[in-house]
Amino acid sequence: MASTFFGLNSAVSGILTAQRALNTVSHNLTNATTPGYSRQRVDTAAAPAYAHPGLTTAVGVGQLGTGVVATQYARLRDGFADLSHRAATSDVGQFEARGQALSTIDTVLDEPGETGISHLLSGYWGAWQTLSLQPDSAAAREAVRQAGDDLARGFNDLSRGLAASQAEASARIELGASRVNDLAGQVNELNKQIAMVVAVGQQPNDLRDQRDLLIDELASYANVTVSEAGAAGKVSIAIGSQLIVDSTTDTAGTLAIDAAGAATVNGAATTIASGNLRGLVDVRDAVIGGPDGYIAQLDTLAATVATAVNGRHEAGFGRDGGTGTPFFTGTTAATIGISAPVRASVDAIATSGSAADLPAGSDVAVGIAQLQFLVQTIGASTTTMDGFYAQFVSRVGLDTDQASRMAQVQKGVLAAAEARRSSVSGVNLDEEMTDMVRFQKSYNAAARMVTALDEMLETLVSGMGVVGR
Amino acid sequence: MSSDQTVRAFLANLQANHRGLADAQRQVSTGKRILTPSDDPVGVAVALGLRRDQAANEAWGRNIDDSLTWLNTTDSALGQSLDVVQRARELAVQGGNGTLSQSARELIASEVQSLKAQFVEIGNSTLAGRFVFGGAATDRQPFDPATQTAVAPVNTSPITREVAQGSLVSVNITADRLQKPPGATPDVFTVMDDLSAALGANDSAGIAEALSRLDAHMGNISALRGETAAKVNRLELTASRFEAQAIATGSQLAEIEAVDLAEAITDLTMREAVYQAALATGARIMQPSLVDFLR
Repeated sequence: MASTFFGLNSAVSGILTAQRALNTVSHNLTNATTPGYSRQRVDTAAAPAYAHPGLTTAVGVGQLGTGVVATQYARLRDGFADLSHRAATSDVGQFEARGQALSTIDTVLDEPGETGISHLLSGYWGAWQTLSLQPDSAAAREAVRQAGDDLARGFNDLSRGLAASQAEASARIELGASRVNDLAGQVNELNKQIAMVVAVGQQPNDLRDQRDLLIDELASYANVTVSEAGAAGKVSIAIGSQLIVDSTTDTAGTLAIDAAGAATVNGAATTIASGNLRGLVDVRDAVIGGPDGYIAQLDTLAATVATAVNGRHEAGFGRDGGTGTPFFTGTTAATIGISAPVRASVDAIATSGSAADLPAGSDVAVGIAQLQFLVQTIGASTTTMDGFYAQFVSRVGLDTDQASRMAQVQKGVLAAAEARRSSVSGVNLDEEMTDMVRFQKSYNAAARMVTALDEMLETLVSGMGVVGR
Repeated sequence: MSSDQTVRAFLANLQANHRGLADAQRQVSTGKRILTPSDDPVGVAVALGLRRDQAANEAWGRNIDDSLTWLNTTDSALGQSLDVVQRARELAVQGGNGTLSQSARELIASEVQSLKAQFVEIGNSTLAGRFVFGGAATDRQPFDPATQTAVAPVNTSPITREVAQGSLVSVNITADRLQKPPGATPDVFTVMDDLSAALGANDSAGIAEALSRLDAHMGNISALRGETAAKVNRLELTASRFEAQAIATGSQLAEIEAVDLAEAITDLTMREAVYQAALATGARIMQPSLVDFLR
């Protein structure tokens, strides 16, 4: 036979559980916009049944339920959605870093424009054409020197711009690596806190949310492999083949990327396959730098211009009768400039093929102007100098376009992963409001139950044994 | 779908719309389709090639204009020198008439001498301070007015210009070709000296020889004029070809670089409509939730 007050206990369990559930709804609602927050839910179960003893049998007609218990505060999270989200984050990081760096160069080129190299090249050849009309004119010589100087400075500026982009990428790589180390340290600290909470049998839901948020940020810098090891709730994180967070030793590693782009964790070599850091290293060492990079291409062009012009210029005679004078010095885009004799006097500019034809011999001037259409082997192409530069501009455009396109595509993938993750972990206000109504009703119902039992007891306590009174 | 995700997805779409709108606006306001190489990487290479062609054509156009001036100056000087030789020939014919008195012949001989000075003057014609018959030595007179002979050494270098890709033209006639036809005929000053001497000596054989030599000179100068005229013709043809090409290149360049305004404005209007629609839907889907309906 159950106790007279048995029902009160069941009703109280209902009231308490409904309160917990309402508190959780409140927690969810207030964190609806908190980054990284995962929706929580109170898991409930019927309380263990009470097999009460009877007068004739030990178990009576059956087991009587004793109400409800909250088994745990569950954190709604989909591990697979996390995986695809992190992968997409790494890819977006890689292509965004690449796209941003390249779009700067895309603008620095100023093509098609009035200050770009192609315009300066045209201006230079045009000045030689004009000089070929009046080789004895000091003004025309001055124009050639000016156009040559402009062209050389154009090369210098562009080369400096590219080097600046490289330096910026280097600075961002450094910052990125130190941020990765910072994040790894924080994850390691959270690992320890989580392990302590788990050890006393509780669910550190909000700490896990914080840790996942940190891992998301980590994934934007480099591709990470996360493995949850053991029952303690700790995670190990690997970048390439090396652990940056080691849950067995409770330590965080140090990521370093050297000037050649090689990555190490605690001194051991590893590879970064994607993420912001990969994008930056690619831009610095393969796109701008490297044997086939933009700087190398530009250097090839500058050297070709200097060699071709000097070859014809040195064979000619200047207004001052001198010969063998180079027009340009330097063999790279960074160092090209007009030579000292030409800088000193425009009379050093050679126009005539023989000393006897001074001052109006123009065959050398005509020859240099004709270089504009000279097809020769430049780098890996057989083309004119202008053609080579157009090809270079086209390549920068293609690279930039491709990087921004790839970033867009990966952002789409990331948005899809975000949506999937959010559909599991995100807070939906409508759903929470419905839950609120549900739990409020069940709270009210349990409270009403108490009232009903109270009325029953009232009958029992005050109404019995007063027959006829 | 969580509430936060709805808002973020909306925001992402709105931003994409906004980017598209800004892009369309930029095209309309600049009138250019290509502002950076990444806008059309292949188109930009073609555009750079066309721009180079434009600049080169302009340079050749300037070369042609300058060459035409040079050739025209040469031609008019040649015409004058032809007149001088023609006059000398007339005088020779007149002096060959055996009925003339000695004094009349001496008068004719002195006119021949003054023709020499005239020839020197024409031979020293200048264009913008440059001696047109001086070869590459444009800074010194090809003929000496005092001695009335060509100044040694005679510079025989051609003055060449590029007037089209790989096409060179020499625009000058040098002093040696002006004063002496190819072959054994002596130079024009010697011929005139001989003529005036023959006139003075009443040497009819000498006068007859001078006559035939002057004929050779007239033939020579006429040939030089023909040569110059042919070059002028050729250059004028080339120039008109460049003009046609400039128009074609310009329209090709516009095709690649410039925005088709009708298309761009239609695009802009459409994007504007989409952007506004997105804003309106956003306002609708974001506002209400159960919160607004529960009491």
